[in-house]
Amino acid sequence: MSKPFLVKLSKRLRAAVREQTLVYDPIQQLSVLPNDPKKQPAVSRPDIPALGTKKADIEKGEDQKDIWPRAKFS
Amino acid sequence: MAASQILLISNKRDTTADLVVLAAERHGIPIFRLNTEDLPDVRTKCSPAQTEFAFEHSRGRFVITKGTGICYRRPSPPETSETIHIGQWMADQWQDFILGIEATDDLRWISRPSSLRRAESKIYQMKLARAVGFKIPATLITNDFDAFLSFSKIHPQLICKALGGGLVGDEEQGSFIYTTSIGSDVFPNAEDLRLAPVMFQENLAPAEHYRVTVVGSSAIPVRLTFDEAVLDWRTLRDPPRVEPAELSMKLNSAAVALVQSAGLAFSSMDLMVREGDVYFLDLNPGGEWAWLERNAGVRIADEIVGYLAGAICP
Repeated sequence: MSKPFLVKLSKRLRAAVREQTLVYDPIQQLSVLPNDPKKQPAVSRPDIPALGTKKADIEKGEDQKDIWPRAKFS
Repeated sequence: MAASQILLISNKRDTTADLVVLAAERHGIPIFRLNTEDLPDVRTKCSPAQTEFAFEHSRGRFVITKGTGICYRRPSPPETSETIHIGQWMADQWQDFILGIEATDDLRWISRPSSLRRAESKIYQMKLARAVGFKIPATLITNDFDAFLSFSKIHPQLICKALGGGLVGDEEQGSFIYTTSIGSDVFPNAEDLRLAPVMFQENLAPAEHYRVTVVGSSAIPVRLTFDEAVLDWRTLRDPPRVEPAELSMKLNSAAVALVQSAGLAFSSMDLMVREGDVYFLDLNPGGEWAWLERNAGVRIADEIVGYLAGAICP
């Protein structure tokens, strides 16, 4: 059965580096860890390096990420 | 740094945008973050006669004025419990509203949505890259099997990759098309190939890999190295090692000229160097850069804020 050539070569995405559950702090305008009394910016914390590298995002490609995507529905 | 203000249009989960917020604070530049998934909870106003945009949420009120820097990255449509048709209609309305900011004169963008859309075209990118002096790998984009066969006879070492995004499906359940070598085990047939165009390029390996991030008139190059020979480093479990690098003045100028000719003030690009020749692979107008800050120690957030605040010439 025919299928686009490149789609046949596609590989399942590696399990994303799970970013810890974060809470957006509207005062600081950035994400913090839940229950962090100091509300330290999560992206500055050395104990969660994946946040800084966004490895999981890069793995999914960097094309057209700033184009407005289709709506999400809850 | 010049006194100005920045409007950051993004989404709550974008931690790279957090770095922009922190950099703005370091430099004393007022920054107002607008997370587009929350737009229905934001009071918005546009007066077209003055092309004045105003936003108000729990953190305060922001009015776009002459000289405002707009950082536009990773917009996310408003989340809604409406039906798919109504939800999409709402998203379209908000998109038109936000994109209408482009009608305002004298703003500093990273990057204009209209420029982003055009600059995503790989074909357009290669045309611009050639014009500023980069070498381009021999390339054929086709869905025609005979054309592919002819090309492969001239260039027996080929790779293939997607012309647009490589993601098939969604980011949670989907698959991804990485750059792959053509060979006896990976070879198209006419029926599969005709269904969608494929980009075939001469394989440049072995070569050195560089990623250059351009902000305004600054080019920030890093060199990527790997423990094993790899065609597409995104397939590696860990990110490649990155270290600050230097470009010749000529290359530096070409990188900046390429991004500016695409109508952008920010972009990353991938380059390969083989036997002294520098080849342009692609431009990523929305390229990720947080990992370069953390792993190579380059200061990209500061450059972005500097540009948006008007401290760096376009």
